[in-house]
Amino acid sequence: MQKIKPGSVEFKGVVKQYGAVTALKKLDLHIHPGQLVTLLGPSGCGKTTTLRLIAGLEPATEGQILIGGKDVTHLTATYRNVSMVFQSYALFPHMTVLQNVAYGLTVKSTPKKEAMQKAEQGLEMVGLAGYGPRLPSELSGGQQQRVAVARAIVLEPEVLLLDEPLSNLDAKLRRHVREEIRQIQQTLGLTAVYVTHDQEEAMAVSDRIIVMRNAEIAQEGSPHDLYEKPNSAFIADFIGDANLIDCGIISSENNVAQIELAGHPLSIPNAQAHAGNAKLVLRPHQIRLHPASANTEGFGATVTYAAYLGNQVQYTLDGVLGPLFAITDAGADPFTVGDDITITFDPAVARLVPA
Amino acid sequence: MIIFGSFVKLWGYNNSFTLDHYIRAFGIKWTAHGLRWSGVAWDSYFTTLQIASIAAPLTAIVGLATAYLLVRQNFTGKSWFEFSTMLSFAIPGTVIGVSYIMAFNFPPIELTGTGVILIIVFVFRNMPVGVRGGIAAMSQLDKSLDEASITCGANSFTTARRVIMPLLGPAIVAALTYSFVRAITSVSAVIFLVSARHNMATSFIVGRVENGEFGIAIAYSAVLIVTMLFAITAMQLIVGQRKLRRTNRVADAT
Repeated sequence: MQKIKPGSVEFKGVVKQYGAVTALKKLDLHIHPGQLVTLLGPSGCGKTTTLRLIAGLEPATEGQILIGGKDVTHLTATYRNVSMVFQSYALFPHMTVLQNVAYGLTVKSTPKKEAMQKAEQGLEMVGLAGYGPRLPSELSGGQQQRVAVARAIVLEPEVLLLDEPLSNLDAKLRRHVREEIRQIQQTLGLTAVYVTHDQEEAMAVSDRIIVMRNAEIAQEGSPHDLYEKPNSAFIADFIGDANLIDCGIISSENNVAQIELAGHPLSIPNAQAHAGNAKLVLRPHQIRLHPASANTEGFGATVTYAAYLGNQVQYTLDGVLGPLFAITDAGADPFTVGDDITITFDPAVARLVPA
Repeated sequence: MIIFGSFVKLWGYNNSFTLDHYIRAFGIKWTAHGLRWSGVAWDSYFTTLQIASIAAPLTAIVGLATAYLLVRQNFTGKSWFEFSTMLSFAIPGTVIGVSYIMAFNFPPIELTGTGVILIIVFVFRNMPVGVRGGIAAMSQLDKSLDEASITCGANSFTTARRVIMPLLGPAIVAALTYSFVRAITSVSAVIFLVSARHNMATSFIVGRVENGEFGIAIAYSAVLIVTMLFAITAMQLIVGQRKLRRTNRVADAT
């Protein structure tokens, strides 16, 4: 298949209300052509609504939606050059796989021969060449979802929309299909908008992630940015595991913050913060554990739970910093429940977020 | 029993075999002018079939279209509309019959005594079954099927025709069969609406019974039963076959 001219997506002050319920509050977003952008967030955050607004399945209450620079606010889904992959696959059960893939082409009155040819190409693209004459019900879940992807991409849409495409698949298959989706998206240079509530999935496939919460954008950026520079406790906790420890910022100068943590003064570099209450973000693997007998300078804690997972050990700790979750490489001699330990961490990797 | 009764002289008194009733009701004669439907029942029989076969598909279409509106579209007064589609079920047939006469007896809509009024009465009286069946079947279909079709660039008409209709096969058969059978067998609403030109089988039978001609009435009923069996089988074949043809077309294409 030849490369498709990908389109951009732009929201200008888009509001969506269902009766008295506000599903989206004044949303502004810009998705660049050729990128895979994930809308990530807990259920009810407005991510699926955003996707359906792009698709044209829901009308916007207010604001303007542009696809490929064209105002499509008042166009219905039929007339927008986007296609969608659904969580439930939504394959037409009475049509064969090939008919399913060719459906969009045939309703646009493409000559039959050409439609079938393109559909075959689409099936080949998703690794299902030769499955054309079968019925969707004869395929496995992963195969069905790939048929749905093929049905969407043969239309050469400006934007490909994926609504939790992997949540009906089992864990192993999920990784496989998401790699395939990412690969197809990159080969064809598609603009894709991907909705998921699984942060690992989002991190794995995205060029950019838009994290949504309570009907608005909480933070957007590359997976790396979100993980390393969360701007709120919510993001820190949502993207990867994080320990959020209450602390007080005493002063902040030249991007170095002087904080007070469980009675100890500490200076945290690379911080843009204001004096006041804050939370310290510590990733589980950033916590170092030392036996209390070693007399290391740090924070005291007790092991309340230890899970040995072969390559790593996961600890639940309790101490002056409150309950903590820590992951260490499985050394020769892991700690056991009840051990008194000392916690240290590198202030340079810790992050401060508003309380 | 009905079949048996139709072949005897006078059921209960003279049980000797006869074809008399059938000949009187459904006799066919060759005359100088060609085939002549000389039986007394032919006239109403043809009228009944004609009206039933016009009313049945109309009922199915109106019923399923209403179901589509109710399940897939949102509009104000939807629940009121849903309730009102059930109303014609609750009203006794005779009341409907009389009210149709009253309503359509004067210009601008003067339909009393025509076949049209019979068709209308059947469509609206039997519609609730089409609506209910359609609602049940359509609620089973995931809404994402419609949305998938629409995001593929199909409009709602194409979606209904190519995605929803084929998946509603059983509901369509049910609506067709039910309304066809009801149109043939209904008595109450019809009895006021028939006229000399458009007499229905049921009112004809009632008339025979009133005249004491039980034999003809019974023979006619037997013929109606056989007719309906044929019609139901035929409908199932036609609607089922459309599905078959679809798959065959694919096999040809690939």
